[in-house]
Amino acid sequence: MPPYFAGPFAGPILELLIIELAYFIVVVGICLTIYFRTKELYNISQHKGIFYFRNIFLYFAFAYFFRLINALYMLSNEALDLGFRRGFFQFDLLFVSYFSTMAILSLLMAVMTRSIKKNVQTADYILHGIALISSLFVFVTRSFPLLFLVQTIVLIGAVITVFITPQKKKPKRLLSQNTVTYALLAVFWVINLLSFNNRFIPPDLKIIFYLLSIAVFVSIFLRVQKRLPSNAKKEKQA
Amino acid sequence: MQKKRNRLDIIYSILGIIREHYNSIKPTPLLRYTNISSQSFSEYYKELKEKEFIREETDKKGRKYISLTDKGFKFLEKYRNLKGFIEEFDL
Repeated sequence: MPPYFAGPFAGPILELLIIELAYFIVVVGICLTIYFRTKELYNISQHKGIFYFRNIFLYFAFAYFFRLINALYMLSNEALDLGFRRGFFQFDLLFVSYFSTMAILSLLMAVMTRSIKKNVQTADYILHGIALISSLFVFVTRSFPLLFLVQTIVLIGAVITVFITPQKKKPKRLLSQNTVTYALLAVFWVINLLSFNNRFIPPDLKIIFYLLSIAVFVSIFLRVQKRLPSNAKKEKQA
Repeated sequence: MQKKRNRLDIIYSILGIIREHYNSIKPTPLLRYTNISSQSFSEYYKELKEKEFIREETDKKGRKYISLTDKGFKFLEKYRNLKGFIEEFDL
């Protein structure tokens, strides 16, 4: 009988490892592809919106990477009883917190760039400042629930900011396709944190979350792909 | 009524005018063709120079001409994709 793990990832270790690895490869693969494939568009335009849009995926890639490291470490640590989990866990939490907060804040900035006319450079420092302070809180307390709480607060703050900031261009609908996509991206990350820590979430439900999260990333990837120079040309020729 | 041009459209327009004039035009006619205020023009001009989309050249008589750089040509080429991308994601 395969070893059974009763920690945050209840279930047989090998299956959990495969699930976590597969999820990581798909999500990070999509994130990095979007980041690198939009490089040219940013280079020729230096458009701030594209800058933040790309950063969302770069920071999510890092956040998912450190999340995987933590997951693998926790799984192997429980199975092999390595015993030096605490310090490692603390540092990993710092990186997960920093990069994921930056991803959510970049998401906010991507939506807001049209409304912010000047001092975007200052905004960048503020974003890093917020991410750093919140990460240090999580680092000092070594608390996953606090990380979840901080991310939820950042997410709610981002949503409120989007709705209270006067938009230059009025949206046709209250919730545009992009608002929904961006919100889902952030919400799934926060759910990821919850499912990552909560030992009572059944693995089946976790897999459903993972699949839905992948679906959101794939839908964004397909839209990016459609708008990239080579594909747009093919579409035109057809 | 014609739709108000956004920042990207104006940049495209400025670069397009330079290209249409065999990649060499003096600043004053360029300002006239772009149909924006001289203050806005100065801002765009500075930005385009900083981003290395355009360069200034001076002839033997000391007259200043503006021409596109490779980056400027590339921008014109990719403009439609760029605009499509920005609109697709509301950036």
